[in-house]
Amino acid sequence: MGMNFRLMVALSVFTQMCATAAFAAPFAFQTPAQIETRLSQIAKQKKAFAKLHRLANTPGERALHLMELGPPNKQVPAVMVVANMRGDNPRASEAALQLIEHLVGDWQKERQSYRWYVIPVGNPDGYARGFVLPLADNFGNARPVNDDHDDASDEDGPEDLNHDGLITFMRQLHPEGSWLPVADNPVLMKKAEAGKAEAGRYRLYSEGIDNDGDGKINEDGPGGCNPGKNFPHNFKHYTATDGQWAGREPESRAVMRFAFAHPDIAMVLVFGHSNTLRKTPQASADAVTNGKRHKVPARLAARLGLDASEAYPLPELLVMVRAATGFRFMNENMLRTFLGLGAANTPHLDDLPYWQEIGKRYEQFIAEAGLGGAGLDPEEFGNGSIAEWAYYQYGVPTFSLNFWTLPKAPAPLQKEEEDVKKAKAKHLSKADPKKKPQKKDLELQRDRALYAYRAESFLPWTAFDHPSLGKVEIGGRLPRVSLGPRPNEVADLISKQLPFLQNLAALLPLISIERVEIKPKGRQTFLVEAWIANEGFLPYPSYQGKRNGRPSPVYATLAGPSLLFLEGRPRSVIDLLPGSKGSQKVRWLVQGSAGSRLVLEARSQSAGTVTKTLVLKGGKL
Amino acid sequence: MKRRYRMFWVVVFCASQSFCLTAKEVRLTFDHYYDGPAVVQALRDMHAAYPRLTRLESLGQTEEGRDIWLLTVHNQKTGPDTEFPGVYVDGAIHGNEIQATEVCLYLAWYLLSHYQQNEKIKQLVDERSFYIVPVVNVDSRTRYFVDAGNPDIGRTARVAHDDDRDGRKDEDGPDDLDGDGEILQMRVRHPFGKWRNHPDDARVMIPVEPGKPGQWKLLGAEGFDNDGDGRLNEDPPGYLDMNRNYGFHWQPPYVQAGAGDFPNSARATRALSEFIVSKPNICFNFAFHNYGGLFVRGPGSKLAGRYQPEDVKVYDYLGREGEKIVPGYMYVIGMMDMYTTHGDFDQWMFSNLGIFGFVGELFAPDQESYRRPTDDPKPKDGRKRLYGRGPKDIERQKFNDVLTQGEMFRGWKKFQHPDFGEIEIGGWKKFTTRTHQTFLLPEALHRNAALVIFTAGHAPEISLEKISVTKIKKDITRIRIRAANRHALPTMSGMAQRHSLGRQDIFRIQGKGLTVLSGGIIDDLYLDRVAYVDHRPEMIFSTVPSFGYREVQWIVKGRGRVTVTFDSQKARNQKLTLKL
Repeated sequence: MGMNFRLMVALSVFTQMCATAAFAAPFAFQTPAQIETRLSQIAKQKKAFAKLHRLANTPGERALHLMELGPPNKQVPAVMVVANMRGDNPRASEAALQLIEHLVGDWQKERQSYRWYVIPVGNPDGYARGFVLPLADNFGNARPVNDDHDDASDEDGPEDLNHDGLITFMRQLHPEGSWLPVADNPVLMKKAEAGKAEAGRYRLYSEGIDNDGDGKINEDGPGGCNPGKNFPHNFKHYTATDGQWAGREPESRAVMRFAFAHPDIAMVLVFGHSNTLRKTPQASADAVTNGKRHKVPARLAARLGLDASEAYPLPELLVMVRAATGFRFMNENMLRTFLGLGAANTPHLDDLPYWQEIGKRYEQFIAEAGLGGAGLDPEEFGNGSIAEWAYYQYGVPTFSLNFWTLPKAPAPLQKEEEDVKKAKAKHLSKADPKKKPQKKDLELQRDRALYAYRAESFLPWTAFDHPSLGKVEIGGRLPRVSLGPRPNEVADLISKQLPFLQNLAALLPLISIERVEIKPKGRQTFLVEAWIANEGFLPYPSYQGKRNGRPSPVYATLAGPSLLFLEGRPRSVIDLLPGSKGSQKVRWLVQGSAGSRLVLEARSQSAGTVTKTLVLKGGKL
Repeated sequence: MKRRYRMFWVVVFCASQSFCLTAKEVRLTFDHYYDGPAVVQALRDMHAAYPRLTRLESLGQTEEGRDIWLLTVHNQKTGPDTEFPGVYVDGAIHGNEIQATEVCLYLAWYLLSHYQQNEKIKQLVDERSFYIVPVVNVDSRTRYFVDAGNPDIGRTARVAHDDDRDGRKDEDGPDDLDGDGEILQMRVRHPFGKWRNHPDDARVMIPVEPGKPGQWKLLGAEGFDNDGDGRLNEDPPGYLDMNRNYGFHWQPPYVQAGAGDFPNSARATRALSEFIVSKPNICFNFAFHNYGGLFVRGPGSKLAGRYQPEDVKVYDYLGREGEKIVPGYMYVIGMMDMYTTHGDFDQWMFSNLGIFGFVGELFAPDQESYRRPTDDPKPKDGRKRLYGRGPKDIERQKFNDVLTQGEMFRGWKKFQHPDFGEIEIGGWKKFTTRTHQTFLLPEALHRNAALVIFTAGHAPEISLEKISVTKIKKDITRIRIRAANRHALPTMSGMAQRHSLGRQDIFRIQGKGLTVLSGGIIDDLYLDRVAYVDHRPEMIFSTVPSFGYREVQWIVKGRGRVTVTFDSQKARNQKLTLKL
């Protein structure tokens, strides 16, 4: 009974395959086959506005699907929603599927005003692993990886030794052991800290045997690479899980290819484990760290007559370098390359206020929906995440949602949390990655919170006779359980938070021609001044988008019969329009026949295109 | 008599058969440049003439639908190509760096045409696999011969890019104003121009001294302001530099110009990356480019981190040999001696796959000299002076006049420009500046191919040698084996070992009824120091270093024949049988 009960707990979190009285699940996650069937069905039935794209074949020969929903033959800004890119979050996939149902059904306005590109399962191979026993914490795709670099790939994976359908942990009393049970809760394990007079007693392994006899247990399990960590911003090389290089995995590559082929995408929403609405990314206040001021390499500084120890604002440097090199078209990006500044690693300071405001609105929204309350901090974006790529490299406003975080552990355990918090606060103020709270502290904090939330998430340690290790105990945290809420909460969490997406879409930048003034300036000569504005809340492009040169800015054109430009160019680039009616003036001095009609157009890739017909009026001789 | 006559025909028949079996002769000459179709024809001819020594295949198609050809040179009779050390050679990842392709063709031709008569070459073709991709940037190199251009046009892949960020792609490239097939320089008379004519040669311009009257203002390369934005030629076709599009610490275009949208976003870089990963036997690569007279190794940027000392030794050895084989070339380090690059091929090969390699920059400008040896200007600050090593323009004009009969330079001619009024157009023509004049080509090709052949000769080759087989007790024996590598390249680079790139090399012992009691690497043979392995002692993971050896020991129980093997991805597997 106990055995099946635990399996059910793990399954209920991930797959919802079982339901008993204790875990009467009113809600079930959909299997990969069910998802595929439903998407095909929608595409078939709603041909007028729905289209299913097969972006890639995964290494496991599964389809990476994207559902496009929006008005046919009409240019509207698009929102790209990518869920479960890491494959370990069925809740995220469920939310994306629910979003699709809304867009097919009752969200008519959203369907008509925007185009939606929704990827419900970003890592189909990893997701499918959640529907096969035994369950394990393995979310890679099906690409074979020779983790231990020996003569075989994937030859030493875990085994379900106690036949409970779960890969948990094994502990073995051993003189070299570095783990010990947590004093007040012996089902939890922690790393011994010699500095706190703690002696390690146990060796900890994941459940299994040493299949290849190399003395290591489960060091080369089945698959794979995780496409959710395979994007090129801050990609981490030399890991066993993130892929050989960024963008190599078919899934991450397909998402990027699609995005670059669809410049109408104005915003990316990521459903996964991080939540930028609840926890706005931080940027350091230090001017050099946040890219407001820059130091100049010594060799270059000497040439420019600058002080290498001093940090200068980029615009000032630009003026000096242009003068020194004689290259007057040098722009800020060229200068960045010239100075070897590397990629931005914190959000652009000018983007932050927008994010903070949206975060505030979200907090209010969920409080009103009755979903408030303290939870653990959502996960930070990992290396090579899609969310960071979408903002830093694709250059559009990007928000992530996780729909749930583990509630905090009750009061007596809060001291540890405080310690973690303090360490974090220190990290943020100094922006020193070395000051991050240690992984082991975070893991213990999570285990405590998980135990408090759902004690059945842990298997009590039970003796087992291991074929090579001898006497061990099997137990500890169940796989996948820390990933999800109680099944009966899922539906509510998703249905109450999804409507915030309607609010988010409404914040997209939208360009307008705010005002046009035409002044006669002599014989058939007119001064045309136009104010191009942004009606939306978000800037266009984002400040980071401007920094990295993508997306293209707005450009305004003026055209008319035999129009002669005396001043200004027929096509004017408008670098950036801040949100909430941020505007920029474009000015032309033209010669044309009085009374003739001109067309003024302001065009953008993803914030709309507007045109206005002008009449060259007035202008007495 | 009749019999003798018959014998004669038998001999003739056998001779003709053996001739057919060996090869038809492929006549390739290297006194000219091969344009797009000619490159493909040369590859087809070589493959047709030497079907058993070559394999010709397309690795994929470019953005404009051209094939990316791979010619593998290896005697398939000796075994599959992946069982032998592989050397990868490519050229013209920058489409304007055309003679990189000729090195590849020359190398293939030389290996094939000397196979019969030269024992050294025969051995290399039998025991190495040469993977030769003569043209990486097929579109731009093909267009270089056809389109109007200049030595710098055609570097990037034909992937449209909005360079000036105005929402339009490739709308303002250079234009061949006078229709002569060349994109030359434009200059206009200007009282404050910064340039004036050289007093000895009016073709050459020199800077105006402060306070002196100006003469010429340079307007840039031939063209119009096609998009009317007040800038000239600022959004030419393409700008995806495939040598910034590879996967190791790739950086976006605002950090690394030309990087492309994401790693391997170009078709060729994607196809080549996957091809190279599929050939773990590749132990060295040459990527040929065309400017500087250099052999460049990484690191190309700080992100690449430090190189292992044992790898630096290998690079230094081959680099210095390279300087001797190709006199005038310098062996340099990208980031330190040149400039920082991200996403380049060479760095990806070494940092992601652990494969050594050089970028060969073929054309050394000081080859276009017109001076006596005693006039040779010696660089003042030694090795650091990579650029500006070439002769001054005035000397180049003498070279042009006397050695190429004036074919390299087009004198300044008046032209009525629609926007600028009267200007002059002139300058160094397309097949100059970065390309060898064809009379200089054969030696450059031969010397560079010789370095590839030299390096291929230094691919790791292991011999297993018995040190001792000592009976310890009745049926317990201690076996000591040495794996020796007398070549410069190790079986795994230090980079590959440090970051676990690829499968490790494996020493194994096997025998019927044999029990392996212990095994390990011998640290010191004479002091009897052995680093024993804890598990699976019949299998020892270790590599064999450059110009060195590895010694292993096993203590076994059993009798009869035992086999010791060394399995490596980069070196040929070896086997040694012993009798206990």
